[in-house]
Amino acid sequence: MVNLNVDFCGVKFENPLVLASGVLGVTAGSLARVVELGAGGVTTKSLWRQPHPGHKNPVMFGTEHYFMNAVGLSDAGLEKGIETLTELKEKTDAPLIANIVAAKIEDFGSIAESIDILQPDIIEINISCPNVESELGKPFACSRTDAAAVTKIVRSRTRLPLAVKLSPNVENIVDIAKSVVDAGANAITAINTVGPGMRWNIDLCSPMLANRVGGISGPAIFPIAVKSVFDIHAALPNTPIIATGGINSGRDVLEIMMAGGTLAGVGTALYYHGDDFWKNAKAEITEWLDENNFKNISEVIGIFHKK
Amino acid sequence: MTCCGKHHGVDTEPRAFAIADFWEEAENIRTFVFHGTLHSKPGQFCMLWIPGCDEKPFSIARDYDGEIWLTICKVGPATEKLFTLKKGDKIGLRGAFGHGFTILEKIPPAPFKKGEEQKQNVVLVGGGYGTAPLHFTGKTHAENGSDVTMIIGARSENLLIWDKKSEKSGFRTLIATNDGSVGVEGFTTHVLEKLISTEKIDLVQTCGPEKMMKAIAEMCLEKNVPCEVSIERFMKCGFGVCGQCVTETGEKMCQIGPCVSAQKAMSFSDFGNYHRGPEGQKVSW
Repeated sequence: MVNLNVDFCGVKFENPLVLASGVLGVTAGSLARVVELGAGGVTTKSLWRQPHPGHKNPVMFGTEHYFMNAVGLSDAGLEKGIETLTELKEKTDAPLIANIVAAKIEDFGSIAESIDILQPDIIEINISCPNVESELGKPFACSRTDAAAVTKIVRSRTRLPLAVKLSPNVENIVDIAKSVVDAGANAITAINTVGPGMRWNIDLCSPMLANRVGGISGPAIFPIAVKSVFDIHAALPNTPIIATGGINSGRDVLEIMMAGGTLAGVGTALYYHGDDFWKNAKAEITEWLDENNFKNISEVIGIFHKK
Repeated sequence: MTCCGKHHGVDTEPRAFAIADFWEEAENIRTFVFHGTLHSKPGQFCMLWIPGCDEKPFSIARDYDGEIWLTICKVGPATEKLFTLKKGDKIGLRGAFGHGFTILEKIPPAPFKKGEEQKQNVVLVGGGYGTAPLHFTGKTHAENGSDVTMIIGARSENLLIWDKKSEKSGFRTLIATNDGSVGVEGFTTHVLEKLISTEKIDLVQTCGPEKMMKAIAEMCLEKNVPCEVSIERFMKCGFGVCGQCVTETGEKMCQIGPCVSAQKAMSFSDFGNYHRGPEGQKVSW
């Protein structure tokens, strides 16, 4: 029997599939249901201290090869965040990753402190959303110093394992990864959506997203995710990675783990495969590992680097 | 019309449609006509995009014979903008999405009663502009040989919609208005309660204010009458990714709904009590 358990920053996950932030995370019930469907853990939507309205509709659409979104990090603020996390901990024992966001570097500290009280298993810092630039400016993940400053302030407010979610839209993601690890991050989440990109409807002569631009996810960005994870693992082999970006099958999960991921963040795959993704991906992973004589999935983490 | 991204055969990128016609159903309620089809089933919904303004979900009032009808109430900035559009102006439509109403199968004639048609008794209950998708539903039931009764409720006569079309289609049409200006004075629930006590009903389907639907669901469960309700939640994507429309049990109303059984609806603690707004905050009905 193949063992799918993985250890991530001392937290035990029953399997490496985790729900990525921003998908299906509006209520505790929704997150708990994802666990019931087979996820090893879940990530909340980005939690703000104050309510944040996000963008108007349309906020997302999909195509055969890629998906675009500009939800704009909508959230009802800390009070609802506390309600969601508290309720979720009552509903499931699966590891919980609380994703936090703020507009200013100094504001990351206060949201981290508030969330720390609720003791999620991991805090994930979102500094890389590409569809709020018109409101918030260039993401902090695009600057080594800004990324490190955010990490440092959050590190000073919590002892929980910290993962920093990085952007692929930078000259050198490895440099950013090193800077946040030096500033106290325990782990990296790579990658956030690519872009921003833009699509127009030619019949209506209008951008397809109300925000005009949006982050690109889905199968088309998987090669970018694999390279980012590969490069970060090569440079920081002892730093665990939540590998995410275009994962669309059990084989994709194995590939990105072999490139260096410890956990596999799943988002857009739910658009392509629906609720069955979790069960089917786990079955595909188990079958492959079994056929290739692996007893534990953790054995595959980073094996491409040994070739 | 262009055809773009498909999701299990459904467009998730909008297609452009020109407004072919429109008319007033009642004060602030207008039916818009578009040429084409969304291949929808009664009770499903679509997303209507007004470029540069917003995109909102609407139940589909008609989708056959090459015409799509959406009956829409002016309730906020998006619909206010929609009401300023003229014939020929283009909007975007995505869908159809979700799970519609159950349509009862035609009952085969009993073996020893040749020629004697057996009919199922379907009662549709619409409240306010929630009545919009029920005529399409009733027509489809009638095509399958069911007897259709339409109970239509409104605050007052000037807010009644689809009552004349319902009568014209041969549905038994019963009206309830809060002020008694036409039909029974009171609520649709009073009319339904009377029907349930006097005849065998095979299926009740309802769309309208959630508190009305909850009262109907409770009544039908108590009397063992099969019932379905159409639950409206704040929609962003419409295809099961954003999670904005989930119930407290985590079920996505854009996929398992909007039409669900009364039993299912009653298992949601939010049903009839509150829904969630665009940021996920609770909003009481």
